[in-house]
Amino acid sequence: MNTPNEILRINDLKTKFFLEEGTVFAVDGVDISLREKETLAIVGESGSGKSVTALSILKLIQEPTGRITDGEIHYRDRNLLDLSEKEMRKIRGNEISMIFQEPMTSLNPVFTIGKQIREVYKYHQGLNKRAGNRKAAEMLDLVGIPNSEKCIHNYPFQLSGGMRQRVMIAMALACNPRILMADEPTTALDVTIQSQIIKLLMDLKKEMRTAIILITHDLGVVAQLAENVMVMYMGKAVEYGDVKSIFHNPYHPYTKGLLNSIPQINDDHDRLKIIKGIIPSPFKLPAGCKYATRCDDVMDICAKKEPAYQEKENGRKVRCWKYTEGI
Amino acid sequence: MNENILTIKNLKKYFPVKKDTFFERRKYVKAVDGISFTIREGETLGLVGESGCGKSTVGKVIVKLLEPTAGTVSFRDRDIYQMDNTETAALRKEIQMIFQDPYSSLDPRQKTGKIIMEPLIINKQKENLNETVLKLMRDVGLLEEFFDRYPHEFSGGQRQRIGIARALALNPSLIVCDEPVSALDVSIQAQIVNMMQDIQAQYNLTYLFISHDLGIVRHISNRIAVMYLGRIVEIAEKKTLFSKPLHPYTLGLLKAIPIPNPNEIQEQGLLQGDIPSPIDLPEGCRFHTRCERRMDICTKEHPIYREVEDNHFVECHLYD
Repeated sequence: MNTPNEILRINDLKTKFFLEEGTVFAVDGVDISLREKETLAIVGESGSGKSVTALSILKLIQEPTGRITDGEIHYRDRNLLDLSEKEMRKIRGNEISMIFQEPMTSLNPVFTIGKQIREVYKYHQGLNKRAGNRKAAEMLDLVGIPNSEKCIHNYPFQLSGGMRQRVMIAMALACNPRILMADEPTTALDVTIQSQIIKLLMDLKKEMRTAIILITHDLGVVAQLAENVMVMYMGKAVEYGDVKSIFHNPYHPYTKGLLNSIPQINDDHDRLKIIKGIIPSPFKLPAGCKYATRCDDVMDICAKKEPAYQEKENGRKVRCWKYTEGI
Repeated sequence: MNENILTIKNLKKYFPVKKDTFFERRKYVKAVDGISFTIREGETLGLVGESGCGKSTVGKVIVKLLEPTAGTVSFRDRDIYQMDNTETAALRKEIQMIFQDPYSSLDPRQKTGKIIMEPLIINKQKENLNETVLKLMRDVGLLEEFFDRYPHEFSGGQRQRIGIARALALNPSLIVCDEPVSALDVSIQAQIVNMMQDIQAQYNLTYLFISHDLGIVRHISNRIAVMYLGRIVEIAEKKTLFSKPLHPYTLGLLKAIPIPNPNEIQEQGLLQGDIPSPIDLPEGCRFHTRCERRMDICTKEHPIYREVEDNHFVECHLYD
């Protein structure tokens, strides 16, 4: 570990899916460094590999279809990829936990809320039912659920979408994890409820030591919550930097395109700026830069050779020929 | 001012809820509960609200997919629910719909060309069928070679283009767009929104644009109506609504949109609580359970929907 307070370091992670139509390079050489209490946002469109990155960290890739083929995931002083399934189970939900996008399908409909949160305590801390229920109610209080004592006896269908998402967050935070991964935590929610969940995450950030990996396509949420941002496109990180640099001075044409395509609150332009074309098929990836087919600043070299992930000032990184010197 | 293409008066749509016992009183989901508004020729009216507020139900009633419980819907001054079969057939050409989910709204066993052609065949407009379809495909940005491909071969954005071409086929005047871009990625959303604005100019279309995304609605609409629990609580010109929102709910909605600028960290969670169930509606103003500026009268009396300024309607006791 070279950076102080670094709790997660991922080097050259590669996750592939072996399908009948061919091999999909879902995550294709991603590097991540996460410090304590940091919030890192991973941004990208569907198919960019952002969710697979999170699932890979927890080693939840379904074999044999998918496999982590390469790389290192250093969590504190261990490489998670060397751990056995038994050892991984001690980490999942305890030291690294995850909130999923769909709060309805991620909760078990036939068990009470209390039982589902209690399970975490039973498994990781050996607590009995009474102690587990008490802790569960405390967690529900923390995430702002009214009548927590009553809520632990409810079933998921008795709660609204926003409340279910709070339960998911309570469950993920139950063991005070070092890293919380939130995969589109607000996408399925209404905007006023989304705002409540953002507030909850902001408050929790102040109170807890947990580092957050926030996976989302909503740049508004990113601007409000994250300190650092990694932009992914077709399985690769194309840009990394602190949130202000990314929003105010983006380098990569894809980052620029994403930022431009949001309807601006204060402009009354007749047309939105667009990114032309669509993402290429994962089975027929372009030879050079994966973004070359849609890029406005495309050069001859872009279609031929993949650019390297270059370090820039202030810890920023970008994968683009435009910012590569000496070509 | 332009003429009204569609006038809705006191529209209600209730759905009965299954009773648990025989003797229980029948309950209703009051999805739309007495709303009135007009859509002007050539404009885009945005209809926003959170899930369950009844915005999609309004859209379905307008295209006659659902019968209203009460109230009238008039298209060019004719009540569409008083029309005979010939008139209805003509009406269905005039009002079309674009659906939210581009995956389930196209028949997976029909090829693109066939899907777009179907409304033309049904309405016996069979001259130059292929050319008409190819022109529609060009207008919405589909390549001609897609004619013989199946929906599953396309991405979400391209499928949505097919759905739009189908809606355009009969040269309608009014298109009800029910969350047309919310299932799409950001970069694709922008492409579709731009294309929809192009065809609006080209085909002289009027849009009712239903969405929960205020950013997109703001971009595309001329006027915006805000719905909450089956009622329209505010309707105004776009600029007025964004610069001077009157209803506390509108204000809460506007403040809840996360601003994509890390230098402007907003106060979050201003609107507390959840939306009440549309079966057991709160007494008085429906919004009072979540309202910051609640007064005594709000829990007792339902506010009156009134025009407080030119073309700016609001339903709130603050403006009595």
